[in-house]
Amino acid sequence: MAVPPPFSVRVADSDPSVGETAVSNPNRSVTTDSAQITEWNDAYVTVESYLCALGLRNKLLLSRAINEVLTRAGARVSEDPSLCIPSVAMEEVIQLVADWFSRVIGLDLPEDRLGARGRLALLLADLPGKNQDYFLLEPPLPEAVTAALRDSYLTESPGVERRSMTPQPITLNPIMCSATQWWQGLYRAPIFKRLLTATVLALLGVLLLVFFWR
Amino acid sequence: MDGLAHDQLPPTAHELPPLTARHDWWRRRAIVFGGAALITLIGVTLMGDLLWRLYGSFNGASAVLLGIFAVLFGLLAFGVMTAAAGFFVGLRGGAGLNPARGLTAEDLSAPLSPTVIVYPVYNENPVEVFERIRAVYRSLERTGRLEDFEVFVLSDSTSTENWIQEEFAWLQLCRELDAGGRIHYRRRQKNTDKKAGNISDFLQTWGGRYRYMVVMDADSVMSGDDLVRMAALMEKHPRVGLLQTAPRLARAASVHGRVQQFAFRLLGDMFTAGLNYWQGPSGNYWGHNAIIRLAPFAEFCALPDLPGKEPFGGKILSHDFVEAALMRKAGWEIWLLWDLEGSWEEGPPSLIDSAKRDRRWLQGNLQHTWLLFASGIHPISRLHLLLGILGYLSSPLWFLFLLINTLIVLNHEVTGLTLVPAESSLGQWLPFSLSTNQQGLVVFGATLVLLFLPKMLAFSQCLFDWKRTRKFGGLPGLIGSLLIETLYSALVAPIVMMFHTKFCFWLLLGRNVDWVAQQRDAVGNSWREALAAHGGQTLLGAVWLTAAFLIEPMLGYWLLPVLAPVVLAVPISVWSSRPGPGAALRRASLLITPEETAAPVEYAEIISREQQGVSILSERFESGDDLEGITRVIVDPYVNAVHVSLIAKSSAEEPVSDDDVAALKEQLMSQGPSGLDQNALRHLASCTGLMLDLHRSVWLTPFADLAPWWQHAIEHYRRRG
Repeated sequence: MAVPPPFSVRVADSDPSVGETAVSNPNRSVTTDSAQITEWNDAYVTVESYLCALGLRNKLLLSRAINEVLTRAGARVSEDPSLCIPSVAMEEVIQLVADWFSRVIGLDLPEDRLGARGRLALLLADLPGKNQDYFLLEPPLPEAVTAALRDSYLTESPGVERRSMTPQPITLNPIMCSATQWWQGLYRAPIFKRLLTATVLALLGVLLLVFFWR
Repeated sequence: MDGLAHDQLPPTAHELPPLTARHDWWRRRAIVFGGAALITLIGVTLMGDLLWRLYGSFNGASAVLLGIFAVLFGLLAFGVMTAAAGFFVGLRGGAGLNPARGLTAEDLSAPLSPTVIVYPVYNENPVEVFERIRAVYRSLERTGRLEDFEVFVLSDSTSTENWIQEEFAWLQLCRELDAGGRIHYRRRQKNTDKKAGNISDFLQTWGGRYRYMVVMDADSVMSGDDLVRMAALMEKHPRVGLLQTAPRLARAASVHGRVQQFAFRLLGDMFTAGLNYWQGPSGNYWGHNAIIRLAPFAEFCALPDLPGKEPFGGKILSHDFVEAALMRKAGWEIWLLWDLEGSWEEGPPSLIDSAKRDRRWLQGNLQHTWLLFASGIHPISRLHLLLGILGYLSSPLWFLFLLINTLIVLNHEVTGLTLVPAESSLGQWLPFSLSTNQQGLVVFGATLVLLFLPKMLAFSQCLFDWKRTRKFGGLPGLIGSLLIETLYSALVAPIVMMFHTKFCFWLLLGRNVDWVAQQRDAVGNSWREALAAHGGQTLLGAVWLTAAFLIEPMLGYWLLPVLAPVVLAVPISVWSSRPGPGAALRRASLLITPEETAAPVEYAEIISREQQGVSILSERFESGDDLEGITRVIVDPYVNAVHVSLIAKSSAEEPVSDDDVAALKEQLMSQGPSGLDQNALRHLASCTGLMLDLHRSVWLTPFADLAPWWQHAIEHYRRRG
C-alpha cells in the first residue's frame, strides 16, 4: 500500500480555527516522523475498524478502500497540518460511503441522514454479505444491486386499520359494590385501614380465645 | 375480510355443526360435579365424625377445621374427577371429544382469513424471543400457508438494552427469512395497562386488518400445522370465539423446571382432556397459545376497571379469565384444543421465579372475586373464576388448618384438660366399627388416595401404551421420575403454601405487585437471593416446629413433613434452581419428556442454532455484556442506522432540555454508559440527532482520547475483522 503523504517533519499551524470540522491537535506544534507514523497508523487502524464494522471482510477491497481514504486525508492534512490525522481520515471514510451511496441511488439527503440511510441500505441490501464485491465500486452497478440499495429502507408498519375497543361496564351485585366503595374509602385514609386491620386481627384473637377456652 | 361484519353476533346453534360430535354437556357436568360432591361428602362426614369422637363435642374450632377441610378436600376431589374423566376419554381415544379431529383435508386447504400472530414482550431476552419467532415462522413456511399469516412483535420493553436488541433482532429476522412486510415490530413508549393494554393498543391500531389473532407469550412456540389447523377450525365454526391450546412445557434445565415439565407432560394431557369433558363450549382462556376471533373480542372483551383501587380493584391483572367470561357471556363458544400437540411454552426455572409469577397471578385471581357474582356471567365461567381463586386461597387455608391444630394442642397442654373421646355418630350406619385411630388413618389414607390417584391414572395410561412409556424414558425411567416428582412436590408444596399465605397477607395490607419480567432460563439462584426470599419462612418454620415438639412431641412429628421442608427452604430452592443437577437427572434418563426423546422440529432448530453458537444477534452483538445494546447502538454503523430509522418513525419520549442532553452526552463520552441510569439511557436513545451525533463523535475522536469503554468497543471490530 502506498504511504499516504505528507510523511515528513512539518511545523504545524496551531490555529485551531483552521481545519473545518476535523479535530485540531493543539499540542502538535512540532511533530516528528515517529509521531506522524503513529498518527497515520492510528488513522489506518480506525478506518480499518470502521470498514470492518461495515462488514467489509475482503482484504483486497479493504486495502483499496483504506488507501483511498488515507490518500484523501493526506491531501487535506497537507493543506492544513494542524488537523488531527485519524479524525480527518474518519471524516473521509464516512463521507466516502455517503457520497458513494448518493451516487449509486441518485438521492440527495442531508449529510447526517444520508449516512444513516446509506448504512441502513447497505445492511438491507446485504452489502456486508453476498454483495460485498460491489461495495464502494464506481457506479453504474448491476441493476439488481442498485435497486436493492435504492429500495432498502424500513417500511412503515402495515397500514392502520383500527378496531374500537370500548369497555362495557360490568354489573356487580349491590353488596360487592357497597363493599368496594367502603374499601375504597379506607384506602383514601391509610390510618383507618391500619386501624381496621388491627381491629380485625384483635377480633380474630378474641374469637380464637373464646373458641378454645373451655 | 368480507366476513368481518358477520362476526359481531354468534350464529345460532341450529345453523351450524357442533365442534365435537357430542354435546350433552350438562350430563357430563353432573357426573364430574356429582362425583366430586359425593367424594367430598364422604370425606367431610368421616372427618366431622372424627373431630366429634376426638373432642367429645363440636366446638367452634372443630367447625372451622371442618370447613377448611371441606374446601381443601373438595378441591382435591374435583381434581380427581377431572383427571378420571380425562383418563376415560383417553382410553376411548377421545372419541367425539377432539375438536381438532373434525377437520377434513378440504377444510385445511381452504383459503384462510387474515390471521396475525402477536408476541407481546416485556424486557424478555431478545435473542430467545426472536429465535422462537424464527422457529414458528419457518414452521409456518413449511405448511405453504405463510401468506395467510403475519407476525407482530408488540414490545413493552422499558430497558434500553432490550429495546435496542429487539429492534436489531427484528430486522435481522426479516433479512434472514426474507420476511419484510410479514413480521412487524412495534414498541410502546408507555406500557399502560401492561399486557392487556399492549394487545388492546395493537387492536385499536391494526386490529381491523385481521380476522383472527393468535396470542403468544414471549416463551411460546407453536407448530405451523397447528396454527393452520386452529385458523381452519375458526373458519369452519363461526360460533367459536376463542380456541385455547394446552401448551406443554419445554426446554427446562433446572431440577425445578424439569419436575414441572415432566409433571405437566405426564398429567397434563389427562387433565386437559378431563377439563374439555365437562367444560365443552364454555372453556377458559389462559392468556396465550390461543386463537381469538377479533370482532367479538374487540366488541365485548375490552376490560373495564374494577371498582376501587389496586390491589383488589383498579386494573384487572389476570385479564385472560375475565376476557373468556365476557366472550362467553356474549354467546360465543370457547374451546380447549387439548389434542393439539404443537403448542409449547417454558416454565419458571426456580421456586423463587415461580413465586414471583404466583404473586402476580394471586392478586389477579383474587380480584376476580368481584366478578363471581356479576350479572350475566355463564355458570361455568363463574366456576373457572372460583377455581382460580380457590387455587390460591387453598394455601392460606392449609396454613390456618395447621395453625388451628397447633393451637388446639397448645390449649390442651396449657389448660391441662384431657380429651374425652365420644362414640362415633356413624357407628349405626356402618357395617363395621373403627377405632378413633383407625378412622384417622382412613381420613388420612383417603386424602393420600386423592393426591396420588391422578398420578396413578397417568402412569397406567403409559402402561396401556408402550410407545408413550418410551417417550418418557422407558418404564424404569418413568417409575424413577414419578418417585422424584412425588418427593419434590412434597418438599415444595409447604414452601409454596408459605409464599401464598404471605402474599395473601400482604394483599390484605394493601401491598401491590410490580410487573417484573419473568426469568425463563435456568441460571440458578444465589444463596443470597434464596436467603432473602426464604429467610422469613425458615425462621417461622424453625420456631413453629421447635414449639410443636416442646408442646407435645406427637404434634411435632405430625408437623415434621410439612415444616421440615420449610426449614430447609433455602438449600432446596438453591439446589433445585441450578441447571447442573437437572442435567445429571437428564443423563440418568430421569424426568424425560416426549419433547426431549424426540425434539419437535421447531425446537430442534432452536437447539441446533444454539449448539452452533449462532443467534439472531451474534453477527453484531457480543453476548454477556449488560450494556452491549447501548454500546453497539452508538458504535456500530448498522445498529445505529436501524435504531435511528425506527425512532425517527415514532414520536420521541418526554422532551429533555438541551443542557441535560449535553451533560448526558459529555458523561457518556467520558465514562461510557455504565455511569448512567436507565432513564438517562432511555432519553439518550430516544433522540435521533443525538444518536447520529454520538456515533460520529465516537468514531471521529482520536482513539487515544477515547474513554476505555469506547476503545474496547471499537477494538471489537478490529478483532473480528
